Amino acid sequence: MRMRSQIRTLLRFELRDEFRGGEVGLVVVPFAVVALLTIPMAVGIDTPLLERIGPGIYWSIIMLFGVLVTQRQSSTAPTAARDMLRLAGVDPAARFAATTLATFVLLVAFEIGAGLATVALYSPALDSWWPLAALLPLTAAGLAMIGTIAGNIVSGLETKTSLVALIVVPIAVPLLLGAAQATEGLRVGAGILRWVLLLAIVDVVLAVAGVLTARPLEESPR
Amino acid sequence: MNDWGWVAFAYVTVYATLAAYTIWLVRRERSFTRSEIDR
Amino acid sequence: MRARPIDLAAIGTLLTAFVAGLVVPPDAVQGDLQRIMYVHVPSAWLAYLSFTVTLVGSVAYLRSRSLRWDRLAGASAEVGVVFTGLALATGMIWGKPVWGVWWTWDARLVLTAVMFFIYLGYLALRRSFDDPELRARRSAVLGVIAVLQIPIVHFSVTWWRGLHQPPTVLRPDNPQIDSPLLFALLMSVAAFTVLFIALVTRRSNLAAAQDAAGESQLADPTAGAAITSPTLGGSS
Repeated sequence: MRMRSQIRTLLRFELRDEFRGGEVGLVVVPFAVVALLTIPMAVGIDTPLLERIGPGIYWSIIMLFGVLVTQRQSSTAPTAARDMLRLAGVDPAARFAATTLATFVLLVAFEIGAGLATVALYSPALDSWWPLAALLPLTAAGLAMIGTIAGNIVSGLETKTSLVALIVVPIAVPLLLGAAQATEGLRVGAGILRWVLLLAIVDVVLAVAGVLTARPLEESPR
Repeated sequence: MNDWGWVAFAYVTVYATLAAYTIWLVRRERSFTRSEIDR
Repeated sequence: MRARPIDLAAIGTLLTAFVAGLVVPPDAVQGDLQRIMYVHVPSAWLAYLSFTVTLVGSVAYLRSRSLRWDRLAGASAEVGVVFTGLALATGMIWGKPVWGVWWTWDARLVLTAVMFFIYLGYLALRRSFDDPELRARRSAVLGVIAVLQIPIVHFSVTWWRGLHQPPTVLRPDNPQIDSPLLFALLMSVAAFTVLFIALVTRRSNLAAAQDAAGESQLADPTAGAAITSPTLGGSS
């Protein structure tokens, strides 16, 4: 099936480009850890307080710094290989899927890295950690899709990163609320199903929107 | 501040902002038409 | 400045609403403070209406590729951001004497704040493009996606605030509202709506004139401007 092989090839290119540059692992994750460090410096090192707000801060950091992952150099910088693919007539929906999948993988890695730092610095106490195995991918998927769509909306513009951040973060509010409330539920032992459902619904809506808008965005005149 | 003070605060904010935006709009329109005439 | 009929209608209805808001009797519970409702509720109503118009304009552009729809979407967003800002400001001015704090994390206030920043992002995007066609296409996509998210943001924020017992929120839409107050409120909503229409059409016309001037500038390039260095494909 042509679409699937296109997606697979593009995905490999994207991840290969990223591993060569190493921006997410070597720059964005450390940056997020620095942010996690500075917050207790700013609000005070009251340990019970930090235990309570740690998860919330974690998700805020993921939303805000996750934008940097979606706008990484390896994905947005023009390359000869990418231009060749466009000229070769690759399906826009395939390109959207490939970029989103690559971003998704990197965001999950980013979430895990930042998560380890959060556990170390804030010692949050959760009733059960297993649901995180669903929460992390669900939020990463949503953020990846918003980020890819936003990146396509601003492609070709000079100063992009701050504009993309302004566009992405308000739209990502449901993801933040879903993830944070679910984690809060895990902390106090409350139900989390409605929040997981919210995340799933957001992801489905974004996936549909992404596929539908892939072609109009690709056709843009230059 | 008494109640009427707050009401005045709200009303002034609203009407001043709307007036400012309208004036800005009209000014841009004007400067535009004038430059068109100058061509 | 040409004073069109809609402009005169706007001025007339605004004056009437302004006077009505001041002369009607004060509310039984909140006293004169409640008069802020006559500017807060219309602002909030228009915040949502202008968002809807931007959505309609965006969808219509994507279907017809007629720039007229894009200009409508953009004009409505710009006027909309003004009204959204005013809805927030008046909400805060009303809340401070009532609750003692400027911000109450009321679900509606939070949703309005998120909408305000979505508008700002949309307008910032529009400002980044020179080419009207490119601007129209990219803005239309953002317009559709942003507005699709609004109901989701609404539900997520409402669910979130529903968990923690909220302080009784400002109740501008009290069903037991007395008829003179209801009249003042409806008059205000109508007046602001007429103003909205007047401003959006004026802003749209301005955008049309700007686009037309832009195009004519491109039509006579200076010599040498046509020579550029070769680039591989387009940038991504």
